Amino acid sequence: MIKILNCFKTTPDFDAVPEADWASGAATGVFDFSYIKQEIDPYSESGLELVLRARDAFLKESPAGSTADIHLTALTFGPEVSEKALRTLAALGYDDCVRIDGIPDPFQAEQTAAAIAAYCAKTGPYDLIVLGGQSPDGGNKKTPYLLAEYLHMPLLKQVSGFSFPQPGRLTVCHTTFGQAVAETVDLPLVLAIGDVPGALLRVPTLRQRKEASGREISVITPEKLLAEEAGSAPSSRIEMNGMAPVDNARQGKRIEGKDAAQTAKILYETYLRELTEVRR
Amino acid sequence: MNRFFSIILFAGSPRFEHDRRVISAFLKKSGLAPTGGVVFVLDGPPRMESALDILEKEILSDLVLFAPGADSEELAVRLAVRKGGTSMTDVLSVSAEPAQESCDEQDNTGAVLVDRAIYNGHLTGTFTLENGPFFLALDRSLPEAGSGTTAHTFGLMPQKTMEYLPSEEDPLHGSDRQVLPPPEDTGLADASFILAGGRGIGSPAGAKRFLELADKLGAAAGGTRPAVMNGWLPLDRLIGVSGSLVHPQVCLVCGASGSAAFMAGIAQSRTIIAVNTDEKAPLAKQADAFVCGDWAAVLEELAGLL
Repeated sequence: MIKILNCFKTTPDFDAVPEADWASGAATGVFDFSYIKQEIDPYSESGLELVLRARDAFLKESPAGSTADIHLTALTFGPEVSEKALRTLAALGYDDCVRIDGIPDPFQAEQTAAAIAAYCAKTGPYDLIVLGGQSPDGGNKKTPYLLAEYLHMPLLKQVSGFSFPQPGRLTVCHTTFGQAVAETVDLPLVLAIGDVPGALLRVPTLRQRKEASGREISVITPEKLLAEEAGSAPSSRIEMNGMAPVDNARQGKRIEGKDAAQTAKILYETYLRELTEVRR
Repeated sequence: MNRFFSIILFAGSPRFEHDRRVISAFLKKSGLAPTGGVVFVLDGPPRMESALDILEKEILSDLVLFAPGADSEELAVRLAVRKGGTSMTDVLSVSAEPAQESCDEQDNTGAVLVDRAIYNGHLTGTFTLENGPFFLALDRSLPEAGSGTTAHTFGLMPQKTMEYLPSEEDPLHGSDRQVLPPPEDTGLADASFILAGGRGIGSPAGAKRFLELADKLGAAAGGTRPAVMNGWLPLDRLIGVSGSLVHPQVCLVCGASGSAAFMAGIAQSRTIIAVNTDEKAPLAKQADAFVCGDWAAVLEELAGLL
């Protein structure tokens, strides 16, 4: 049986936070994102969908295969609000849906990776561990690499797709040292998902949701995990000292012609004529 | 800042010269004297595990700087674990921790302060890193030094070139690897006029029209993350922190709200023009000129003028 662990993160949609809230939050160090819609981070979302596609293809290619031959675990480290995403994943066919309870410090990737490593020690080993390459809050780009080191597993990054060509092996499309490659490797493996166009997470049907409605979400505390499994103690010490808003403001001059033709003419005369003359 | 440091470069990278220029400018900005540095250049067909093994043995300095990019980030983070130090990616600046500056000049192993973008590029965070050695991968948006400055800076640093050594112990050694054909050049890197489409281009049909209009206008076409992730535009046309960082004379943005990650990608444009039906979109204040209206109608008219 192939055991896959898919780690994901939900965060507020930071682009929906008003400019004034960033300024006040940076000054006080306190943010209230509770009124902002939560979403699965885009890299994690691609990873979750790619796993489902790989599972579908695996089952289709193996007539004798059944869902018992592939086991999917969805794991998130976050507050209770993350359970909405776990319920969606349960409906989509993830066999185990697990939440490590807490609000991880977005700038301490070492702690997040240590918690995941401890979970793997408790419930693994896994043939494949899939994570998003980075999340929008901390943007550390570290967790997959740390996890590969903590678990002593090989890793491929900037992954855009994968499939199982035969038991125990995985064909992975990824980018390394500036080259896009398709590489067939032995499992186990950690994958850090990169940009994957068209890999938005599918939406479960009402029937799938109904069938999964009784499924339990497992909740574990990080303290319990680390105590039980003696997870790797990160040596890094990183402290946040301060924050400042990024100022992208420009003139913002409103161009208002009486119609599209006049607006285009103003744009052309003011900003584009010089450019086109240089190009000629 | 008084530090002994190492620089890691990849000889086969098409960005090798660019990376040298970025690092040169970064050293100057950070006050790191080139005489305190040594350059390690990895050469040959690259393998990550081999690079990790080589650098784990070779690097002895307390501060290690990596050129921008995903391979550097992986090396920085994994080496920090192996060497018991601390890593950070997308580093914008580094300086000595103030308390450390006043200490004995011979002691150059203390904490450092590092700036980097956080919260999807909405804020810049300043962090204290306490446990060395420090492995820092630089940010892609950092500026380049001139070629003369770069040659002078690197001329002062000893350089050691090392070849990747395939190892039987590498778990990925012997994998079946096929190099995929590179994507066609989108022209975004050197374009003087760029058309960037956002969520407002709305559909595959909208994207087709957008690309036709870009062609008529003689502009290179790119897109925001929503336009690319919805599959409307190809991945190689992504503009933003994880795509192309562009620097055209004019960037005309159609139907995009102006997310921080996208704005970082067009920040070096001389002029930004935005067309959007939502006058409250953040981009309205982040552009030089803003048109509240239908992008397609405006572009059709512009095509007749250019």
